[in-house]
Amino acid sequence: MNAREQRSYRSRFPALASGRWGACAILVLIMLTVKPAHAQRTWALDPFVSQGVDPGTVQTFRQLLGDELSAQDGGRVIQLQAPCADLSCAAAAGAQAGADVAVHGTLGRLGAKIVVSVSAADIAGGSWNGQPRASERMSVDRVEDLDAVASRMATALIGRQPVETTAELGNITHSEAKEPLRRRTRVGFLMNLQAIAPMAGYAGEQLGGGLEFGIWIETLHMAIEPRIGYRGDLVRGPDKYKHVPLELGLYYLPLLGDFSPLVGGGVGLHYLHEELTERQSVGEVLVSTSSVTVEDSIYGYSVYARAGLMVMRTYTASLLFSVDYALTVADFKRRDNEHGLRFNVGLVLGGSSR
Amino acid sequence: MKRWHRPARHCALATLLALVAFAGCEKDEEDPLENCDLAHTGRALEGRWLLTAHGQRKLCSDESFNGRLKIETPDPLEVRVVRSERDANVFGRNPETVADSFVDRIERADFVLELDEDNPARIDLEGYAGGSCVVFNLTEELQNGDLLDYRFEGFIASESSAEGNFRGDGPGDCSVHGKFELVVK
Repeated sequence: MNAREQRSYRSRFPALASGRWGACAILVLIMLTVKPAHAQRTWALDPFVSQGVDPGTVQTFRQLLGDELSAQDGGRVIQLQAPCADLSCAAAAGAQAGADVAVHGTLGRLGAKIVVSVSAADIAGGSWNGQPRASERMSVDRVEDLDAVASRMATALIGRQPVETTAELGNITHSEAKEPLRRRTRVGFLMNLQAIAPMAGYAGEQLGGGLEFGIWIETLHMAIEPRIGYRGDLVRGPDKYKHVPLELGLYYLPLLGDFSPLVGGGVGLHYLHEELTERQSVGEVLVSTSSVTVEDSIYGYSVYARAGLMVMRTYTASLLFSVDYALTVADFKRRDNEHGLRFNVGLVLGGSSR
Repeated sequence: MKRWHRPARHCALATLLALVAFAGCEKDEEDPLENCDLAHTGRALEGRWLLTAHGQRKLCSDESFNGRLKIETPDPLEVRVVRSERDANVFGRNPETVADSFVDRIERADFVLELDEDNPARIDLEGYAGGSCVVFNLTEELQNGDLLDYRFEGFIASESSAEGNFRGDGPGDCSVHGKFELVVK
């Protein structure tokens, strides 16, 4: 812009000629409001080829694609009448019609799917240079998804980007939607190794251990565990216990991955055999100590709370680490109910993992 | 019928005789608690007593005291014996002379058992050794006023031990019985 033109410019916009800031504001305004030059493109769509797809569906898809191109690109859309077998034919027909871009499409049926292939050619100076502007393909498993395909194809053709990158919320096709990971009910075999740390009872709070077997029934977030086992004291001495528990646990598994916490609890019916030696001593010179073995062979009930971690949950062999607080209620002779902590290492085998 | 009766009667008679003979053999075994003529006498009981007894305690109104019983003396009892001038156990002795008889009476003198003053005041001993037999009562007064009152009857088995049976009462209405062993050091 020479000095003469500058003077002319200032004379045409006298209100802004006084300041440089005013000119900048105008420029920004123009940049924001004026559409880019390529928006003026003319798109020519040939009659899309149908390969086993209802012609009405093909026609509708072409119309949808034209509408999307017009809406997204802001240009004009020409619906060509002469059918074409390939892109070069469509390019020639588009050039004749004065279009900037020619679009050729095919809708073919493949089993239950409809395969949509669309390619575009830029026409410059009335001819095509042989290099496709874009060539994209999508498949859908239901015809209702063709409008989403039209929208994403238009975006891909305008932006010269792969159609896979055009997916957004609202235009995902049913076949693209990732099927949620669905876990079938898993039924497996459970083996549980147990250590018992009594807090009261258990024949004088004897450390013990146990082995349990059961069935592990697992759904997405819940697991049910009926099991039977044997528990006994592990310390040599006169005081001893043997338990045969039949328990049913119900647990919540919040996570679906390989690691999931586990919380829950259960109830049980127990056969309990316990021998506890009670001693009573009197005298300081003649120390007289009596001892009697209190023996219980009874049935009792238990309730327990469990917290733990399930490892390798998605595998057919999973590990279960947990700790229980268990209360056993029974009509023990000369003593109260018993309670304690149980530490478990379980192995779940079998069952379908997904 | 009579032909069968006679052998049966003979068999029954033989069985009866065998039983009588067997019972007689059993009866012939000497009971040291009856004869009291074993070699060791009450003199062996002087010293520090370590008493151990095993038995049963039962009939207690507080059931927790019932059951198998063990009695021990963690601190030995200091016991002295005092010879009785008047009595001696000379059962089974057949002295040929008056002098031998006199010696027998000295050697087989009876002894009275007494607790030394060093023992706790709440324990009491009354006892007597006649020949190789010994009978003594041990009584302990408990803190709550109850009494352990045990009577021991046995024989002196060696120069430093005695053994036998015991029975008694306490605490409360408990009844005890069993066997004891006394080691003298």
